Amino acid sequence: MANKEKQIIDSVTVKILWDRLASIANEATTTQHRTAFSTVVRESNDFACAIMDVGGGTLAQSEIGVPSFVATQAITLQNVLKLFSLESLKPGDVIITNDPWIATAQVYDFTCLAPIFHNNKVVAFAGSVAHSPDIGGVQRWSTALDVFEEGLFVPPMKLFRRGVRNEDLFTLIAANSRTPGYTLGDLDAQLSALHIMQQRVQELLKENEMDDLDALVPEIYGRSETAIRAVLREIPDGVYKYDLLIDNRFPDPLMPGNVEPRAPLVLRASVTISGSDIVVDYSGSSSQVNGGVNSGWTGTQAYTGYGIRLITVPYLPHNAGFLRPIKVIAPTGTIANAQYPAAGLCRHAIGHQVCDAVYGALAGAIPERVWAQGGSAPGWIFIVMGKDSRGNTYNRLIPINGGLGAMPNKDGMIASFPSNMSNTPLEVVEDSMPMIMESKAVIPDSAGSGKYRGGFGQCLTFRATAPIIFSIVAARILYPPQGLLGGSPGRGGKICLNSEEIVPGDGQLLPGDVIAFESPGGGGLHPPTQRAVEAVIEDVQDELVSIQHAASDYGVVINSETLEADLDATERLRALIDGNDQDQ
Amino acid sequence: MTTEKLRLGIDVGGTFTDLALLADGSGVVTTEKVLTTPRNPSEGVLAGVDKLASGGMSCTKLYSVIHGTTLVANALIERKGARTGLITTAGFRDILHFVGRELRYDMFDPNISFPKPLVPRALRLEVPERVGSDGNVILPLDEERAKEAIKILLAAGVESIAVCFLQSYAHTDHERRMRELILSECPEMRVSLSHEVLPQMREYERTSATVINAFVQPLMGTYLKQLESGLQERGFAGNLFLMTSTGGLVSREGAEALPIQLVESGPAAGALAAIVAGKNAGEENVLSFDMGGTTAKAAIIKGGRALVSKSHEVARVRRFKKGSGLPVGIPVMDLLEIGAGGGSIAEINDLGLIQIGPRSAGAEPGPVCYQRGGTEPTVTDADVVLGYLNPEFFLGGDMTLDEEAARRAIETKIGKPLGMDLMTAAAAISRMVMENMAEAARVHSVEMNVDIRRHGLIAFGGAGPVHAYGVARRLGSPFVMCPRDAGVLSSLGLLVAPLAVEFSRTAAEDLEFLTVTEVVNILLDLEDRGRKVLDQAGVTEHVFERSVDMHYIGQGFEVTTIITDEMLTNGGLQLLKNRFDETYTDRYGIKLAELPARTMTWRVLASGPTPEIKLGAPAGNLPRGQALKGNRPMFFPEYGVVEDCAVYSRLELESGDEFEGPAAIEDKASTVIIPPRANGWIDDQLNIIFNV
Repeated sequence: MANKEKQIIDSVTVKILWDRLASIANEATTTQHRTAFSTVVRESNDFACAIMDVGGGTLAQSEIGVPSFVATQAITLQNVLKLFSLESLKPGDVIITNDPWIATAQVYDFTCLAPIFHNNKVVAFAGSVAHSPDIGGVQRWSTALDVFEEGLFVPPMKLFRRGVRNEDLFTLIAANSRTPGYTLGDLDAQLSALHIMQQRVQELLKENEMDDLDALVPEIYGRSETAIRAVLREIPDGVYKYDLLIDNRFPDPLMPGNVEPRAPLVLRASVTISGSDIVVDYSGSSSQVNGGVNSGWTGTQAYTGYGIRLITVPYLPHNAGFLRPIKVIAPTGTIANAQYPAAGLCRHAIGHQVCDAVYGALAGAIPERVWAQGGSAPGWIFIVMGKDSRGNTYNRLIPINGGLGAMPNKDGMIASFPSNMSNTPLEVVEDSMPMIMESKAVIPDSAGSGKYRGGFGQCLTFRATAPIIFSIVAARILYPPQGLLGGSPGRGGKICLNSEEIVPGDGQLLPGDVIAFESPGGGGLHPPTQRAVEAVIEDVQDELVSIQHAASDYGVVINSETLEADLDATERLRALIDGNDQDQ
Repeated sequence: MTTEKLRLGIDVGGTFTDLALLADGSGVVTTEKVLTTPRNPSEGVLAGVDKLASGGMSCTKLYSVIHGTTLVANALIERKGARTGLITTAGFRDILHFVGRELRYDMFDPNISFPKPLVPRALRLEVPERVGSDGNVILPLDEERAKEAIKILLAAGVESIAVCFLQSYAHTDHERRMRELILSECPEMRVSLSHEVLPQMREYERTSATVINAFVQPLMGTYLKQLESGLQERGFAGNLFLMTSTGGLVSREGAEALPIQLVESGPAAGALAAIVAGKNAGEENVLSFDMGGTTAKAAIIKGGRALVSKSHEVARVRRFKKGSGLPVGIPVMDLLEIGAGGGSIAEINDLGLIQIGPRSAGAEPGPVCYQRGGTEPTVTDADVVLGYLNPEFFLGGDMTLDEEAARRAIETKIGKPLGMDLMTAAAAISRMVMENMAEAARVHSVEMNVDIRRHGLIAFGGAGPVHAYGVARRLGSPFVMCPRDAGVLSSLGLLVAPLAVEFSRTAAEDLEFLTVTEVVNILLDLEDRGRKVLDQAGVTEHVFERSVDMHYIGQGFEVTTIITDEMLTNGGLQLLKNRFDETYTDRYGIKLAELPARTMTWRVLASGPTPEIKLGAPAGNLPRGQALKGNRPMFFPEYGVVEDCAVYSRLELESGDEFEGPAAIEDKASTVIIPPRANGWIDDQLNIIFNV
């Protein structure tokens, strides 16, 4: 009875402890960010930290970092607990893995997990994921036949046993990296983050005279589950379907040089709403293709959950409770769930698109909540390798973002979604790589029109001043980002080498070569004729939308001298476009 | 008879303009307080000067006036600056269109907003020219196209022009030539060049800073002219200085050329006040904690100086969210802004839990107990219910608070829905706001790698002294100090800042390829520029603080490393490397000494001497009455209702007085809450100090 009484916890305490957990995760993230060495963590934020319960659910996560990493580390923990029982774990143990099938779907990301002990009992887990600077592999993102070519594969293993370093494993990892100092340095940063979470959670329990988090965990999950179910319940029951078409000319490592366009790949989402439960089923999607572009099972789950969560219960801190009503099905061997031992370095090429498939399906059911498709799904990346003027090898990843899809009540802008990768300053590019930037410009008329328009695509042009080896991961070139609910598609992307269009993949630049990326514009939401006339005028005055487009897409007639709208003519033109003849 | 030399500090705040007049010899401080005149702040300032003059101050004896202002920040927040044009390298006018690093600053915001550029796209023009990162000219400036661009901007009626060319920090000729061309077309045009505003790598930040400078320049010029001529009309013949965002001073001319330096001029003065107060208590490591109606501001003071940050933003579109504003790039005092104030609203969120802020009732309609139409319970309402605030003595009795209305609001909006009694609900609001502030400060201190537990808390603002005990407990602060009249202290803070000007230059180079001679040449050039400015301001004693921003090759984050004299002798650059390694370890907690380093931005801070401020004892001749005004019950979460807590009148307390918690000490500006079991005393400057 006494024990049961202890389980009752008042709502004020719940809120304070919960906020404290979030704050601990942030503190750990800050520590990792502060102590990491590689630019991929420090400049691109390619990492995340979380505190998880003993069952492998996320309790609290960091505010910055990659959205999918939070969900994947919980999945990793659930799988790790099948190999290492809770009872077998000891204080000071740390488990590491980069197994794509249970971690982030890519071998370059290390997931580290550590039990948090209090009074001789595991009360929670600390987790940290980070993109490693280098763990070997072929380093051509599109030519790997399988995961073994991509880097060192580390199944779940103990990196520390009872606080003692597993030197053999450290030695093995270092020996497989081109930059062992950076790779081990970043691992140290992950360990610092784990340590902070362990220490702070222990302090929290001690301070509040608690034995464990058992009373808090159901409060966090229960309240979160209730909140998301309340929104899901509002969605009419039914099965909603959407076929997302994906460019089908990713390089095939078995048929190099074959770039003939093929029938598009189909990512099929069937979303079933019944009551407050939601099932997202990707059955019927195209079969897995050769190369590293297929999404992994963990990534598909993570981004599906993130996408639903973002539009149903925004702003609230993330935890596993929000995922309880969400079930994801993705048959093995499809583009949504690559089968072992497929390559996976480019898994985001398809993995980033799952949110859009779900939004496409749900658009009719919850038109006030969905986003249109954007030009950063997948996030385009330009990986460059070579030697700098000092003769040092560099290997850098340059993200090239496109226009976001229109948001429920806002225009899209140029940014990263569903990932959250930052760009590289142009002057840093020129300072650290043998390249000169020729332009970074918004592409006028590239945004899909709508009541809310998409974000514009951007044109980024590089000129090589020394030989460079490159890999490009990009899509939405043949099948541009679609608008929803009457909005128009954005303009598809384009990549040109010395003014000749090329297909994304691996290649080489010689001094003087110019490579130009035109990222896709985002799709629009709702019919363009519903867009506020002032908003169209502003875009025209900003030279982002041409006068012709203003008329043909938006039905807004603009005087080329004054750049003001002719309201009568606009009314007539809009009526005509809407097929809503006033004579009737 | 010697002529007494006078210095005047003027701090323009949101509501009041505070003035502090210091007589150098005697250390006597005279203060004045007038209402701020937001439309033209110089009117309020001059009204204050007139009041001091009618009290006997002679403007002719003033040798310096030091001014802190929020004008620049307000112009940016309200977007009421000049019509500004921007000229960029051909191909790059959209640098300003890309918001920051293209990150979503909140990954769970489905309607995320970003700030609009200060310069509309049509006023951003391109001119062919190109310089490489090594400073070599790749393409000369196309003067014909440059003139065309200028004509277009002039025809469009711009009042200010920003010029930002790529890599211009490495080669400044093209930007300087642009200024000549602009001025030859239009001699009175204001021109901001990026290599002068922020001579650093990273084009978005540099463009943003240059445009911010251009946007506020005309406005600042007009204001300074009005203020200066107003002072001169009153006989002032000394120097007018302005407080910069790092807590240094800049001459009137410097402020007009680079008004971006004043972006946090007002708040910087506030943090200086905490430094002054801390020094009085013999503490150089403190946390300045200023809690007002809508926000709390915290600044970490280390070794008697506020920490400085280079990632400051203005005009955030989502308050308190990093990444949602316009970056200023230049060093700014590191001020953490937290969405917690007396007016922060308590509500039940979608998770069925109490949430405090960031929504705020502000001053209008204000908390429910103000009876100005507020209906949602706030932190202040909880403070009234808990007995922390005296409804009959708010603002010294100028305003009566409706305690009953506060009770009703908390009961109906929070207590009943959650099944809590009134006191539990009110205590929950109070606990949570303290928790929020303490956690925000703690996470921030981790980011700055400072162990916050060793820092005393200097609490100000209307709501600061009420909640300081709870924040201090959570942070483990050794003591809380509540300075006497904090407004006055801010204007006093202005008087202790040295005249300081910083010049910097980016020269990206691996440390191993640099020679001492090259380094000395860069620094001498920067020192010369600093010396010139100080000489013009009549300061003859110069101190140079030299530093360089460095990183390990491959990393993107720079650490500012102090350069000492011995580093500038043969072989000294190894000492610089050692110092960088140590600074890095101190800042980030890890050692990477074996890695090679790269230098980015060289800086010289030229300052005059730090003015000594010898405060006379506060006027102690006033007839003092009974300090103990009575008793009232207060609620402390750990103890429940404590009857008979002592209530003191702050005005009646004298140096050396001691007291025990629980107690409340009231004055017009705020109420200091001393928790049970805490001991406190009044120091020789009439500051209240207590341990928690």
